[in-house]
Amino acid sequence: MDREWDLILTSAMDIGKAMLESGGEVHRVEDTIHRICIAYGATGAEVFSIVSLITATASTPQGIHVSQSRRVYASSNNMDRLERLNALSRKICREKTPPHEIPALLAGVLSSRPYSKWCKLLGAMLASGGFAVFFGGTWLDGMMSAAIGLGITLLGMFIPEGINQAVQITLYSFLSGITSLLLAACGLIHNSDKVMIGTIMLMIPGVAFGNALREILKGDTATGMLRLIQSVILATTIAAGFALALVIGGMLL
Amino acid sequence: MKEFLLQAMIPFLTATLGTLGFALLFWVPKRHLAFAVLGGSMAILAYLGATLIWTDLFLCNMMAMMVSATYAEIMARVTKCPVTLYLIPSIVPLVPGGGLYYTMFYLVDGNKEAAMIMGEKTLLTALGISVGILIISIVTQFIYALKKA
Repeated sequence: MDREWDLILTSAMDIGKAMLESGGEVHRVEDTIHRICIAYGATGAEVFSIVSLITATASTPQGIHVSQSRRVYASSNNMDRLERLNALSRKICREKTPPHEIPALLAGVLSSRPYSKWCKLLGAMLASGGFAVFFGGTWLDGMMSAAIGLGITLLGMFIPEGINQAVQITLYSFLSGITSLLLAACGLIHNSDKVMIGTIMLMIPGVAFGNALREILKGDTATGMLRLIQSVILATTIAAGFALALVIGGMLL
Repeated sequence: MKEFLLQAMIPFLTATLGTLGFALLFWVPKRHLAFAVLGGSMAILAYLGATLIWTDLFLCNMMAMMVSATYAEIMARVTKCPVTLYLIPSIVPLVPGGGLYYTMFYLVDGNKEAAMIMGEKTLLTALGISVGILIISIVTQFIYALKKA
């Protein structure tokens, strides 16, 4: 029986970790793990999660306590995976899937790829191009912004993993800033500021900021504060990259 | 009215395209894609509409976000999927990317007054968005609690 509970909690924690990594709220993660434990007959489940850690203790019907924790290193928005994980946890709670079958189901969810790499590139182009025009640029500005957005997204795909995110963002901001200024100097774009705003939109942590405040008011203060500080630092690094580009561009051009 | 529609045309189209781009970047599932992007389009239409009534940046963003957050909450309940999936695309067009840029630009330029004004605008926009989401999420939780009771 102990082995079974070990497996149940392992599955629940793995699902929770995957949710956190795909941009799910901590509230949802805690709720999911709790529900799964209760669905299998646990008399209680204490779950706590922040952006970088999940810990949970389930009290089994036999009166034994099973405890596990997971460390989460990075998260990004993957709505498709989040939805599948959500559907999987609903299914598990409803059908009480035999615990040894869950890892295979979870692996199935984690390996599904709804969009190809091309879609990501197309998304980056539409986002930076669309918003360059939205903020007042001409159509030419939009196309150039889309090209720069494409460039930095491609660069992001080839950059080796494990490089600090702040360093990456500063590099992207600097490169897109200096490219816009160069293109403007050659007369290839009308408003270099609108082109830069388009590419800023690609990186700006606006969504994270919104989520942070939402979580603070929901009572997940620890996570909210962490996310808030993360997004403020990210915004500062973006500003630093573009500021560097403007200073250097101002001296050269 | 006709004038407003003509003026709103380009922001509406480009914001919709931009939101579609973000929806792809955020891997919004294909069957939810169209409706998730619609949330972004609604946010910008509501924002443009709000600017006709109010001039305050905070108020306009709050109202726009309340409209699209209501949409997101309803869609999430109807399709039984996480609210985030609909909420995130609808935040995108309101994000103050321009404000952040000009704040930084004036700082580098040495124009402190202008930088302060732009910085304040950026913060007010961000606050308006968050307050809008919050009001709606509190209202939905309240309705949910009432239903259960």
